[in-house]
Amino acid sequence: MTGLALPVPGFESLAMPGAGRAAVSLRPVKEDPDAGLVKRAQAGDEAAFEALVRRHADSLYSVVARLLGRGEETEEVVQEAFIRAWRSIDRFKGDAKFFTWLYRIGVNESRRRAEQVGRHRERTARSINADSGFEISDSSQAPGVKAEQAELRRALKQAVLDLPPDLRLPLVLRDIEGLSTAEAAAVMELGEPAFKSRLHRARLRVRKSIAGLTGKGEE
Amino acid sequence: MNPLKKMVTMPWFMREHRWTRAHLSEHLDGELPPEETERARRHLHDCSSCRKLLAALRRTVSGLGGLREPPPPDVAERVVSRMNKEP
Repeated sequence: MTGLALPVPGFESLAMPGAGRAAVSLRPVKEDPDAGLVKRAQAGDEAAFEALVRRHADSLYSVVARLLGRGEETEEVVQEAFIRAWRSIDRFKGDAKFFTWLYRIGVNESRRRAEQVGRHRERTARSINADSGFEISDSSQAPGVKAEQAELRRALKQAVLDLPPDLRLPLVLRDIEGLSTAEAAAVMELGEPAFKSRLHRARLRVRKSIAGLTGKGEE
Repeated sequence: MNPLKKMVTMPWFMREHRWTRAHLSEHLDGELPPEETERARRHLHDCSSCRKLLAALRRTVSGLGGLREPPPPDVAERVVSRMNKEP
């Protein structure tokens, strides 16, 4: 996996295992639901890897979309991440769950793309992303309530996008995508205390950004 | 002096205040060990400022959980299709 290590400015912890970065010991993986498919894929079974793709493509897309915005580029990154994973599957040692390894590849590829296209385009993507996709799912609510919720949702989304990458990813993985702390920390190759610290700082920033919309008298 | 204001000036109160604020997310997530959960609860009982912040964080995290959006259809199938075209 050393060959997959990619520079991630502001995201030192995302180097792939063995890439010469500070070592973070991951918890032993007792049960990885993907273990059987991974073993078959490592033996060259393409159908097994395709099953892994079908199992994880949507989730990986969601994470990458939070980093790059929804669109063709996100889809390209997801495809590239799976292709890299397939080419490197024999080097996956099972010291983390397969999906955390896959997410690392996807996140590193996302950051590499963001660097390639430059900050201007990233800002554009962020703006476009924040302005789209704010449908309210509960159609039974009064228009005023719907409008308030839509505004809050929009503000939350923008606040997430405004976070620096090293704070945004913990929030995306833990609070939006619903990974456990242990899983999200493993994706970022952080110890849990360091991960929790970043998550807390990220939440505080987002809370501050939306304070005017969520209640009176908040600190 | 107002009892609460008096309390705020006490070093032990400020020490607990700083500690609790630094651990509010862990408390919210239920990830503090039992003795530290109790420590946080004790301070929260005495500190309206921390209670407000905890409530605000709870609303924030709840809102974030609602941001998940479904990906476009057939992402996986397009990945498989691309993989099949790769040399």
